[in-house]
Amino acid sequence: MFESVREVLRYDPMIRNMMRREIRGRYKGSALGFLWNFITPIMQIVVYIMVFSIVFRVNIENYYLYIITGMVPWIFFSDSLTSGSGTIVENSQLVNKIYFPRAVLPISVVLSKLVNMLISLVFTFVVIAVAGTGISWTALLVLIPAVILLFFFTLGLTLVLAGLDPYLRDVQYIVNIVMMLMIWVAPIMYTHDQFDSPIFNIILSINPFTYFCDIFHDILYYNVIPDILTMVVAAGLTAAAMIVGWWAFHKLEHEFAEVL
Amino acid sequence: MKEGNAIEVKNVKKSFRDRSESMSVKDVIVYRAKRKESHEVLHGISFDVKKGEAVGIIGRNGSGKSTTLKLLTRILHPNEGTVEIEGKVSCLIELGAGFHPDMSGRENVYVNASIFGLNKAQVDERMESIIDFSEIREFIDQRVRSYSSGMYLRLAFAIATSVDADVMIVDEILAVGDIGFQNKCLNRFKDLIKNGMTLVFVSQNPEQVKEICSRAIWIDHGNIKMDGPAEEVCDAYSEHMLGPEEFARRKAKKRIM
Repeated sequence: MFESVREVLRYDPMIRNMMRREIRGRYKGSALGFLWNFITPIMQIVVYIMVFSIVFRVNIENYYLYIITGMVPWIFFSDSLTSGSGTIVENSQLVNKIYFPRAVLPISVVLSKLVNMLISLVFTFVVIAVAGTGISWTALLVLIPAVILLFFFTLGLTLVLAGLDPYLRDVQYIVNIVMMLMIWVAPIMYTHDQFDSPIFNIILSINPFTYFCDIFHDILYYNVIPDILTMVVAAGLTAAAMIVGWWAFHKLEHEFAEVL
Repeated sequence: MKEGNAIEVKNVKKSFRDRSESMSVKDVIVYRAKRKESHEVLHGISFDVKKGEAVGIIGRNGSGKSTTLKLLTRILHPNEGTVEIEGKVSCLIELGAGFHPDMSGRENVYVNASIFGLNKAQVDERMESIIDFSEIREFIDQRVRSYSSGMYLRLAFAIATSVDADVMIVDEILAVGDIGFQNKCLNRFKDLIKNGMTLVFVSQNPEQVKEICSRAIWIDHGNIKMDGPAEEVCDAYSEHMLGPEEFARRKAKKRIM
């Protein structure tokens, strides 16, 4: 296992090139190019803010900020899984013809989405500054471990899905549907205390993304240090996702060239 | 691994499951039960290659040459037996594998070389010689989409032979190059071999094998049929494939020329 990690690290020039291809190459040929990485999520966020504050009249203070601080990690999470799960099949031409540690492909996708999220976080700080809601610097210190946890949690899941996809092409479509549903069972558009249905609260606590979403809300919206239990759960989920993800991918990658 | 060996292949068996198209849900469910339905492509082959040796692999279509090559490059894994390679491996398995059609030739050099483990500075260093060797300077900043297959080959070949590999594995791809470039490639191989590189070269052209390889392995129906000096093995192969009369006729014709 450590040997395979070391081998992937040796391929960092390839990871860098693949990231560049993912960030720049994806929208190559379009006039706005790289900016499309941000236009789509911004429009998505704007639509949610309008629908919920105007149509449904949600009564949460600085609601737009609540949505933004939940959507930024969500978009990273769902973009990584939707793009990352198909990456082996998409690059079958490479996988069939050249040896390289296959994990390079999903890692590059998730890293490129991380770059997008970091840029989005800068936007978020601008919105916070304009809104004048202030920021807690001690809470902000937790943002770094929070981003790291979310990154590895997402990477672990992406590795499993990217590894399964060549064997069962339905994985990509299943991921799309799951992401479509999952956004509504996470406290992104609403807060925990808005519903006191015990069943709903159980559903929320089953969704692993809830914990990461809570952490981002605490740091960026409520300006408090996330509570330790939530952090521990998130760390546990991250460790489990990475161990299972790495192990499963390693098992699955052996026969990629035979099924592609 | 034994001292002085670059490649050790020991009793390798490889079989492929029979599979049409991609799997449906039904196939996945019945998948495990059906696992035995496979055909063996390699029936336990063994050979060693010494460091600095150039070995040609010949055989009719479908004999298992390409499978052997993919096992050497670790794209495929054997069902039984082991494949060991010492040192850095470079390969030319198929034309322009990994070229992104919408990126320029120059950008593709960076991406492709990084797959062989070169970083940006190392590519910068080699860029000029890669462009020179490929002789496509006017086109290097154009999108690869517009390249001809010969241009693909030139660029891919120039990259794969510039990555300081200890072992190079080449499938029958030289055929698309014009005769001048083919000759240039063969000379490049000879230089690299002289500098200690190990070469495994698959070709349908026994004359090419004789020209650069000292040894040849003839694979037939998943077994090694003959392994020895390139001249002998290639002639035996040609005679087998062409029949004794045609082989004698060609050999005589060549002597006259």
